[in-house]
Amino acid sequence: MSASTPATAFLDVSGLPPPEPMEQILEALATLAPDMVLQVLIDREPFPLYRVLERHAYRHQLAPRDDGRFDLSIQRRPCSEH
Amino acid sequence: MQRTLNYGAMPSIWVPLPFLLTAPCFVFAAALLLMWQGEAALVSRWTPVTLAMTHLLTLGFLTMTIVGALFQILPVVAGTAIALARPVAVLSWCGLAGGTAVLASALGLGLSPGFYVTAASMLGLAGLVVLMAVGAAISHRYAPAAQPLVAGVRLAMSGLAVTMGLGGALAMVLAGHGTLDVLLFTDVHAFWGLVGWIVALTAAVSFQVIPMFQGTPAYPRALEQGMPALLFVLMLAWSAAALLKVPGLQLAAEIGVGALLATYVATTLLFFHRRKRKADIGTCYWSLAMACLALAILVRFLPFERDQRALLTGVLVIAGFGMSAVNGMLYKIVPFLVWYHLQCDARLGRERVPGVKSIVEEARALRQLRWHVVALGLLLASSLAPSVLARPAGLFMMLAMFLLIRDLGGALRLFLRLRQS
Repeated sequence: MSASTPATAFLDVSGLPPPEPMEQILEALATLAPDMVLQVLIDREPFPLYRVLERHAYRHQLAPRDDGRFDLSIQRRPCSEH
Repeated sequence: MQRTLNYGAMPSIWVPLPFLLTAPCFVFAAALLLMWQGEAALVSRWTPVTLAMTHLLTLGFLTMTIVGALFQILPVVAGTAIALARPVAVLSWCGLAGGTAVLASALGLGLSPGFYVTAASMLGLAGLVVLMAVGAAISHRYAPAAQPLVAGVRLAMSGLAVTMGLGGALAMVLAGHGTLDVLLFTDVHAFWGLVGWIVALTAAVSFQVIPMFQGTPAYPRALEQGMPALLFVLMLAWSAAALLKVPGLQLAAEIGVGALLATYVATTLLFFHRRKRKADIGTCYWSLAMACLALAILVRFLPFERDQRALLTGVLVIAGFGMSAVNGMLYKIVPFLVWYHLQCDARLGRERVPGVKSIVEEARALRQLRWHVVALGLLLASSLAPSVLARPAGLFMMLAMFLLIRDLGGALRLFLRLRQS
């Protein structure tokens, strides 16, 4: 793997009722290495999660899929952005 | 179609929580009244203690929780915030809690006319503040996906305004100002309060939350968009027919309302029946609520004596439909609010925040549901045999509410303990 492509962990929370997707994402983040990306497949845009990510120094990107679901990638903000 | 929630605009926990946590205390007060007065509370819908209990439950519990939930759900679902949420919440909470206590005391204890004027003023103030604040919020741009919810809330708010206007007029008559056909206007007031406000608002919210939390498909567009408007038109027709004394039209409108609500109940229960997932406790509360609404529709058209039919229908709609749905939602909303606001607190390590399901364990909610079912069964039975069953019904109602207060209070204590540590 090249130095510019961080290692990625995958998590599928589609089909789960709220707030289980958010709980599982936060649990996964707690064990994620600082330089890794968490790639999440989710049914709906997780608006409540954004404030929590912001408060805990994570950044995120969301991409809609054709089937109505979303790909959400989450990564710890570099120290320079804190 | 999937629902989306915008939690980014969530208000402070202290905006909805006081409404959600104080509401059960009014049921506790109603249950105490029932235990104290016994048969007198359920022998007729016109006894002072019945009127006091009815308002403790409808205003103190159902309206209180609905208003609290609106502060939460409008910004979250429609992406439209209630402006000045904290002062609006304080003002409406004070008016609603104080006005309900004064009105229930005036009705139950036969206090002097001044108390009716005081109650009407306090409740009128709270109602106006809520109507203006919610009206302003839903007049702004909102998320397109929230259109059915906003339309439902708008019509339910109109139902609340009609209920308040009629209730205020009746309070003035009780205070010795002016005259009215009190029996007729009470019927119209009760119909708007129960169906036009409580059932309409609960249904509008359920169109959003049942697919989301219970994992059912979205409601048919025709039902979630058409039901609130059609309900409103039928209720206007029913009221006009009642006031102008056109019994044929009144019965037709009543059948229309019954058919509409029966369609809503049947759709929801069919969703639950077809669902592959095992029924959780929230589904049990909703199923009970729907069964009670179906029974209320049935009782409305059965050949009971008029007063007894009204009493049974009232128990089924208030304690059966409204309280079951609200109890279930409280067990969802309050633990989530606590968990979410703890997660947002960057000072707390995430490992110190308990899982949302362990804030109030499902076994506790199941225990509350069981006691609530027993209380509800006794309440219904005591409408038919009040001399024997009224006091036991009050006792079980009190126990069910004690469990709810203990469980929600436990969630609040956990929140405060973790925030202060």
